[in-house]
Amino acid sequence: MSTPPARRGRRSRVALRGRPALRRLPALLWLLPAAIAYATFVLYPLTQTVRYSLYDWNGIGQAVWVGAANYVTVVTDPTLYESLVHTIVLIVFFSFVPITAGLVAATFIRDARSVRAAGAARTILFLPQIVPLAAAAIAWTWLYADDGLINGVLRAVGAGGLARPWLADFDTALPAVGLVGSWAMVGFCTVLFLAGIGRIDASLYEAARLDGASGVQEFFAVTLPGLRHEILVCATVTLIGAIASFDLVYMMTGGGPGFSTMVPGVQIVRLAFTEGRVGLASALAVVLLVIVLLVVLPLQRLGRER
Amino acid sequence: MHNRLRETVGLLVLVLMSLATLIPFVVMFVTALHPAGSSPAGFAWPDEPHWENFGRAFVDSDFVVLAGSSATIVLGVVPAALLFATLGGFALGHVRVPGSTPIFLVFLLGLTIPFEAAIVPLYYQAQDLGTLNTPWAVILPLIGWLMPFGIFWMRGQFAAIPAELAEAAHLDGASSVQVLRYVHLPLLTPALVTLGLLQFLTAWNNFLLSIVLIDDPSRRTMAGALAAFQGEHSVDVPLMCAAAVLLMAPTLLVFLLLQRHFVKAVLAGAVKG
Amino acid sequence: MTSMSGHDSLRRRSALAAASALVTAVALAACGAPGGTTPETGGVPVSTEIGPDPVMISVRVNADQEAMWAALVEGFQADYPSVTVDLETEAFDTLQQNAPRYLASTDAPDLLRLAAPGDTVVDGLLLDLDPYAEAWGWDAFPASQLEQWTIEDNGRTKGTGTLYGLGAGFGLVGLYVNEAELAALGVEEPTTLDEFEAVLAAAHDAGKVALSGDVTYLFQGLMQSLGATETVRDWVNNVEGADLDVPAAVEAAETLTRWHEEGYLASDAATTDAGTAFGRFLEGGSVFFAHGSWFAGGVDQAGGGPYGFTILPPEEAGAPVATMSASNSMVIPANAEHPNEAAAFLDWIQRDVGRQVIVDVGGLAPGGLGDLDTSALTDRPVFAATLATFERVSADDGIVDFLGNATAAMTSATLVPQSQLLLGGRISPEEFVATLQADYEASQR
Repeated sequence: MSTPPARRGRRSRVALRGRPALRRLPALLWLLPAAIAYATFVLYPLTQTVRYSLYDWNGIGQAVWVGAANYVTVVTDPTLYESLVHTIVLIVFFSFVPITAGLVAATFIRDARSVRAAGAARTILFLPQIVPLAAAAIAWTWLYADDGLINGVLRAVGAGGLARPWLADFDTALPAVGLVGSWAMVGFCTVLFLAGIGRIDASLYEAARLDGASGVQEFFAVTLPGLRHEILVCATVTLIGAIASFDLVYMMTGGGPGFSTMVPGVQIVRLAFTEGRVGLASALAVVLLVIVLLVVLPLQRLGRER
Repeated sequence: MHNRLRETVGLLVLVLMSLATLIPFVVMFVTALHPAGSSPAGFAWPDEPHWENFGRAFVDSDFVVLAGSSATIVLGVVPAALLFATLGGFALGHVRVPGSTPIFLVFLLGLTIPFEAAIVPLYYQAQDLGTLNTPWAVILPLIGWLMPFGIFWMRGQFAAIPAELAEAAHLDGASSVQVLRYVHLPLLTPALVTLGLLQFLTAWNNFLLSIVLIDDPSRRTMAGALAAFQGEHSVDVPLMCAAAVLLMAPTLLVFLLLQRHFVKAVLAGAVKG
Repeated sequence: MTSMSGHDSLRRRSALAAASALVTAVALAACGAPGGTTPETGGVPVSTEIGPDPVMISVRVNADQEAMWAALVEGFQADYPSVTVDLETEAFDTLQQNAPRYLASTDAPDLLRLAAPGDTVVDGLLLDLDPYAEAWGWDAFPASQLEQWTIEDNGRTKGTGTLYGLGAGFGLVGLYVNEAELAALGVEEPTTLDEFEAVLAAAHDAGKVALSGDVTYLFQGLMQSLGATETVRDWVNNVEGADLDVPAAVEAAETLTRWHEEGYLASDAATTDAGTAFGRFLEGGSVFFAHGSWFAGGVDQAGGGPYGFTILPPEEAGAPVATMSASNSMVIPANAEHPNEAAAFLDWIQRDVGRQVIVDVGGLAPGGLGDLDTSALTDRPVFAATLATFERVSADDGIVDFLGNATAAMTSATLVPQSQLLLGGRISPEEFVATLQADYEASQR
C-alpha cells in the first residue's frame, strides 16, 4: 500500500497506547461471518474435492477407495490430458493475444486526442466483460455457422474455399473458441493499459523523444516497463479466464467435435454429473487447481517484487 | 509535438476495435429480427423485422420469473457479501487483530481458485443442505467465493485511511461500531459502490453454479437459463438470438446507466490487484 | 502488499502450507467413503384401487413429446377424477443426465421418463414393478415389450429379472425415403445392401446428398444388416462376456466411413443435429433420412414428397431384418409418494384410449393390448408405414435396443464423439469399434 513504514510504526505505537490490546480480540468476531462463509463454501469443498478424488464413486451409491488410481487415469487417458493441453492453447488466445493486441492498441490510441471518442470507446470496449459470456457464445456460434456471417463474407469476397463449419471442424474448432476469448478480453486489456499509460510520467516520453528514440524504441523503453503492473493484472485475470473457460466451451461446442475443444472445466462437470464418475472428475479438478496455482502464484510474486 | 498522422491512426485503431467489439452484438440483434426458424444469410436487415420474436423469447424463457430469480440471487448475495467483506476488512485493515497476516493470506489463497475446482463437492453439499434447485444453492457459495476479493479490497481500503481519524473518535469515547459507522463508512462509500458493482456482475452473470445446482431454468440466473433455452431451441437461430439479446438486456441497461462507475469499478478492482 | 522481510514471508507461507495440508489430511482420514445413503423407500402397499381422496402426482417427461403427454394426462384425469397430474417437461438429453439425481432426491417425481437404467437399479432407486404387473395384468403383454426393462439384480443384464419400467409407445428407427427423388433417379427400391449403396452412388452422381440423419443409427443399422443382430442384442442387454469388437462391426464402420468419403453423406453429417438434418430432408436436401419414427408426424404434415419409410436392407435378399426400437420407458422412483396412482396412469396408457392417443398424437407404435382405430391413418401414410415396419420387424423378431442404451453415458460420452472422430478421419474403423468395447467394459464394474 501507499503508507510509508515510518507512519505505520507510529500508528501501531498509538494503537498500543490508545487501545487496550484486549479490545483487539473481540474484533476477531467481525471476521467471523466472512471466515465462516469462506471456510464453509470454499475451503471445505476444496478439501472434499481431494477426498472424492481418492474414491471411485458414482455420486449415489457407496464409494470405493482407489487411492491414486484416478490420477493415473488423468495422465494416461488421452481425452483427459489432451483437455489440459487445450487449456494451454486457450491461454494463448485468452491471455497472450489480448495482452499483445491491447498493448499495441493502447499505444496507438493514446495519440487520439478526442475525449468523447475515448469515453464512448471505453464503454463499448467493456461490453464483453459486462454481458454474460453465454450470450456472447450464442452470438459467436451464429457468426461461425455454416451459413453465418464469417462464411458469408468469405464467400462474398471470393474466398469461398475457406468457408467451413468452423465449430464443427476438428482443426478449427479450438482456435475458433479461443478467438472468442481474445475478443472478450482484448477490450478489457486495452482500457486497462490506456489508464495505465495515462499514469506514466510524461517526462519519460519527452526524454525518450529528445534522445531520438523511434516509436518502437519508445514502446519498449518507456511504455512496457511503465505498464508492468497492469500487464501482470491483465495476465492474471485472463489466465484465470482461460483455465476456467467453462461458459464458452459449454455453450459453443460442449467439447466437440470429438474431444477437440474439451477443457478440464467442462470435463469435470460431464464426468461427475453425466457419466457418474465423481472420483475421476475430482482428480481432474485437483490437477486443474494445481495448474492454476502453479501458473498464477508466480505471477503474483512477480508483481510483488518492486 | 504532436503528429497529425499519429492522431488519425490512433483514432482509426479506436474505431476499428470498437467495431470489432460491437459486431457480434449487432449481428445477434439483426438475426433476432428474422423470421423464426429461418437461417438468415449474413448481415442483411430483414425485409420485415419480426419484433415478435422478442415477445416469444420473453414468454418461452419465462422472463419475468427469471428476472425475479436473478434478482433474488443478487439480493441474497450482494448485501451479505458487502457486509461480511466490510466487517472483515475492518478487522484486518483497521483493528489489526492478532493473526491478521496469516488470516489474510488464507483469504488470498482463494483469489485465483476457479469454481470448477470445487463444483462437484458443492453439489453434494447443496444436496445435504437441501438447497438444491433453490436460489440458496447459488447464493451461499457465491457469498463465500466473493470473500477473497472482498476482504482483500476492503482491507486495503481500511488500511489506507489514516489512523488518526479513528483515534480521535475513540478518544471521544466512541465504540468500534460507531467508529466504523460514522468515521469509516462515509469515506468508503465509493469503494463500497465499486465492490458492490463487481459483486453484482459476478452474481448476475454466474453460469456454472446456476446450471449445475439449479435444474429449473426459470430459477436460475439469466445466463444459466440461456443454456436450457439453447437445449430446447438450438435449431431456431432467430429465436435463440432474440433470447440472448433479451437476457443480456438487464446488465446492458444497468451498465449504460452507470457506465462510469462500472468502468471505474472493474479497472480499480484490477489495478489494486 | 505489506513489506515483510523475506524470512517472515517464507516462514508464514510454509506455515500456511503445512496447516492446509494438515487440515486436508484430517478431513480425509476422519471421513469414510462418501455416498451410500439412499432415501427410504415409500413402503406403500400395492393396490389397483384408486380412492376418492384427491391426489396429485408429478410426471416428468421429455419436452419434445409434450403434446402427446398432455393428451394422455387429459384422458387419464377424465377417467380418474380424483387424481391430478402435474406434468413437467425438460429437454431429453438434460432429463436423462439429471434423472439419477431426480430419482435419488427426497422430492422425486412419481413417474419419470428414463431411457436407460444406468446404475439406478443397483443403487436401489427404482420401484419394483412386478407386483403391479401382476395386479394390473401387464404380464399378458407381448414379452418383447417388457424385455428391455426386465432387469437382473446386477442392474445391467436385461431380458430376465425384475420389471422396472414400462413404455408409453414404441418408436423405431428406419429410413425415410423421398420417393419423388428416388423416382427421379430412375432406380428401384433396393432389397440388398449392395443395391442400396448403388442407389446412394446414383444419387450422388445426380448431384444430391444421398443420405442424412443420425450416423450412430446408421452404424448400428449396418451392423444389423451385416448379420450381427445377436451380437448387438447381447451387448446392449449387458449379457456376460458380450463383445462388440467383431468383424461385422469393423465392416459396418468401414462402410460408413466409405459412404462419408464418397460424399453419399453430407460432410458435416456427424455434427449436424437432428432438427437441422430433418429440416434439410424436408426441403429435398437428401434422398434418405435415417432417424426415428417420431419424425413421421412432421413428415406427414410437410409439403413435397410423397415420402416413404423403410429400413436398411440386409446383406442378402430375404434375410431377417432388424431395427432399433425402444419404448418411451417410464419408471417409478423407489421413494415415489404415490406409486399406486402412478401405476394406474401407466396402465391406462396401455389400454384402448391411451393407445389411441399414442397413435394419434404421439405418432408412435403403441404398447400394451387393446383395440386400435386405424381408419384415420389414410392421411398419414408415412406414419402408417412406420407402424407396418414395426409389425414386419417384430415378425422377424428383429426389435433391438439402441447401442447407446448399453450404458448410462454410452451415447454422449462415447458413441457421438467417437463417430465424429471416425468420420473426421481421426481414427480408423478398428479403433472406433475397439474404443466402443473398451468404454463399455470400463463401465462393467
